[in-house]
Amino acid sequence: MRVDAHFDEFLYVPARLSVVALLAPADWVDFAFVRDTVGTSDSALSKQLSALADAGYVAVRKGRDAGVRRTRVRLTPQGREAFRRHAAALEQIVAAARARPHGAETATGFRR
Amino acid sequence: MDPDEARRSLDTMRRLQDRTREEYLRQSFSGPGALLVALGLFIVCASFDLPGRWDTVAMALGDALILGVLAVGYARASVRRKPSGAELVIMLAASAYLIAGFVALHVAARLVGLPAPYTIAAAATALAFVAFGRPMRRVYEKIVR
Repeated sequence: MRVDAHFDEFLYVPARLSVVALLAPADWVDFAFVRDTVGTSDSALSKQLSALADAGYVAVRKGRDAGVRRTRVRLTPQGREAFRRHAAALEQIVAAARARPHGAETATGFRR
Repeated sequence: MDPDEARRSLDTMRRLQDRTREEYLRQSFSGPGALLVALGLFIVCASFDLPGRWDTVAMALGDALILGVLAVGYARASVRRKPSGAELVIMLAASAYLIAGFVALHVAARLVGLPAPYTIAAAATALAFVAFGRPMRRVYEKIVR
């Protein structure tokens, strides 16, 4: 199996990958928690979330909890699967490098 | 992508996933919330010693306190996730232990002839609830990771 078959170009962007990684262990995560943990601004996070939502990777829900306006984000099943595959592809790249004899050329099929 | 870059991405992913899990554990075992639930537990368990309709009133108050704390905690939670099967089993087992401990303590207090046996058993049960918070968090930590 080729590693790059599961490598997700869309998640290669670090900001997107950070958001998706943060959402992965949970069902719903508060927008403010994502913003503060990733260390970004409201507008930058909104932009990344829009891109992720357009790709079908996340869902955004706006509402009120205990009288406070809240925006919550979750991974969609498609986003969860993409993240799982992407992580597996990264693991394979690392494992392939470990298995290669010292000094051998990279053979993962893609290099940036 | 070279292996070092892949390794760095994996490290970042793990670190961020751990932050979410830590936040979930922090809010699930928050100190003030646990103390208020313990207080509610004490009120509910001790209510059996009260005469007349006061036992119903106290039980309703205790139940309202417990449910209120849980509802507010859920509403304010910045990380929400459905408890796994293992978490539910641990939760049910812990509840069963607390109930069994409460009943056993009440019987012992009655046999010894202590006054207000339910209140004594309720105090011990509430203290046990607080004391088990830290070990329970460790168990949850292993399950969540």
